[in-house]
Amino acid sequence: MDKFKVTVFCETAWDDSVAPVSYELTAKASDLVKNIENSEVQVLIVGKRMNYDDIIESFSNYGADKVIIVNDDIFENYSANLYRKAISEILKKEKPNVVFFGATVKGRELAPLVATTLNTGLTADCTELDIVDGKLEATRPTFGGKLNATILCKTLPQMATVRAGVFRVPENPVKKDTKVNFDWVNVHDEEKFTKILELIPEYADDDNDLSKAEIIYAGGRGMKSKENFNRLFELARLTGGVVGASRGAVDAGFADSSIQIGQTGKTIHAKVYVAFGISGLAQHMAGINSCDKIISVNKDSNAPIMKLSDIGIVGDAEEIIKQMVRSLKNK
Amino acid sequence: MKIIVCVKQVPDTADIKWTENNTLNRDGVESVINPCDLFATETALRIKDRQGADITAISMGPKQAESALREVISMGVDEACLLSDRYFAASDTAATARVLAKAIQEKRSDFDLIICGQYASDGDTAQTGPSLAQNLGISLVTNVKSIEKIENDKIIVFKQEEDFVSRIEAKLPAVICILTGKYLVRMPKISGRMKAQDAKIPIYTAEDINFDAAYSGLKGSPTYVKKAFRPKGRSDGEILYDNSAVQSAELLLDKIKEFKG
Ligand SMILES: Cc1cc2nc3c(=O)[nH]c(=O)nc-3n(C[C@H](O)[C@H](O)[C@H](O)COP(=O)(O)OP(=O)(O)OC[C@H]3O[C@@H](n4cnc5c(N)ncnc54)[C@H](O)[C@@H]3O)c2cc1C
Repeated sequence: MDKFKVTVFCETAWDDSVAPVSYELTAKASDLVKNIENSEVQVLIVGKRMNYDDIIESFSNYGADKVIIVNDDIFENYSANLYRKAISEILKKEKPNVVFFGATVKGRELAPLVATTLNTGLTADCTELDIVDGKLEATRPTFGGKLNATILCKTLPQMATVRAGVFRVPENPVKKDTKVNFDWVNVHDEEKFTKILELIPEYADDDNDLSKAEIIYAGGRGMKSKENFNRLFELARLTGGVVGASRGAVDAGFADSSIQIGQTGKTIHAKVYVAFGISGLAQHMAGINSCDKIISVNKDSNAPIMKLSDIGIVGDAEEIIKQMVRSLKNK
Repeated sequence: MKIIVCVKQVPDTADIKWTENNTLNRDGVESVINPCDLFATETALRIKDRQGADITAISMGPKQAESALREVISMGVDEACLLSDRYFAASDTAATARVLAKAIQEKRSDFDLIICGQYASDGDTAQTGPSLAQNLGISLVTNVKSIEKIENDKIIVFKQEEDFVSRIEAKLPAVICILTGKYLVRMPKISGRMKAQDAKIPIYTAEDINFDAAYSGLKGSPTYVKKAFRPKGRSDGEILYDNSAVQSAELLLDKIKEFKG
């Protein structure tokens, strides 16, 4: 019987760091194949010539059976068509059953290029994965999060992009004996259809990293003003949390879009998510469903978020936040 | 400069409601132009304002999608065509991109630039634009915020990356996928509306574009939906009424501490 292979594309950033989603997907892939006999989880790295030892070590920890490295200085700067060609060539050789990309900016650009090259199907931005009888069942929110659809693929490889932060890497990883293969693809400078001229940094607030936070306080349109919204930062500071926002709050100008949570914003997986003045429409909920506990404060007991929370508190967000801050300061 | 804009008509997702038996009620749901595609159209029109361009809008969809095409013509797009055939119905992104690519090769092969919306508000796959670029074998830049300039055989754009912006040069012809932005999308003028009313919008079937219908529709699509279901809520939650702000604040602080563990 042929080996059942799952390939994870390893995404690296401009500073050669690995995108966490690549580790998450490797761990998930090794979990998905654990009951499949004769299976292999492969990680595919395309990049410049450098020392990959630490990266290989991390992938071993998360369950990679094999790491394939295509290293050439032509890959130093990302160019979609070059990467497409390299990835597609390796996949044609390896013939995996399943291929995962992170649903990042790069992953969502590359995956459809590769899928089209290989003449196969691709499911975008999945939030749940399963393999049943060799078939990848990829579930994703659609219609603005109002509906979840489970999508299958008739052709091989079965491909999916998967949202960052949905799956977590194991806390106690078990190191695998990982094979490392260096491979080579014939690519030329003329195949660089695009080139990066410049990277322009954006203001990044390291103290407010939603992806790693345990407690997140989020405000919505029901915060009423920017001044009220800013009190959330004080609350966060006092309790060691970070602040997020609904699109309603962003649209109203209370908060910056960089902290928007939801389908078109960040996906979070905090231990506690506290929503103030957020109605809880599906596009927002799509970003918070993997939080352990959801608490909401809303003046309307019929707001959808009330039914979607572990605890719903009917009340005025502004007053309650003021009281929380006061109480914390008195302690 | 010849530009093609890809436009999709979508149900207004804000209008869709749930029925009691967990199905989507689309009654009375209006069809609108996909928001990103409006920005794609605006981007094309700004190129036309600045340096002149012929803009053709193209859409694949049911006959009623013609109204979306008339709308972009009223904004200033020069021509439009609709790809409509029962064999196209229920195509996934891969199949849709094949149809679009074939239509462009047959009817508008002399284009310089194709502008798509980054994603559609109904499916939100963001895959059709990239797949179209690959079918045509040309450059692609996704997540484009704006265009800096177009010269001879290349275009320079600003792309929104994960946490920075990159400036990218792409060889023409190219496909670029545009995000929604903070700039305004123009409203049609009366003269535009009149032009749109009279515009002839050809409808092409699979046969008209020499497309083998076996590669589109449900049968020709590599992916299919096995099941669709309503996202589950939290069943054992509780709702607390009638507390004072002080009580609620204390309760919240207690619960946060408890849940944080
Ligand atoms: C394609 C698409 C993508 C989207 N992506 C996202 C996304 O990523 N993230 C996102 O959040 N949204 C997204 N949306 C928008 C989403 O549908 C909602 O419109 C948005 O989440 C609403 O924000 P809100 O809850 O803050 O505002 P509203 O829906 O206006 O709700 C405000 C709430 O505040 C309550 N309230 C008012 N006053 C008070 C008070 N004094 N105290 C307590 N409560 C009060 C009200 O009862 C109400 O429930 C998207 C929409 C579309 C179409």
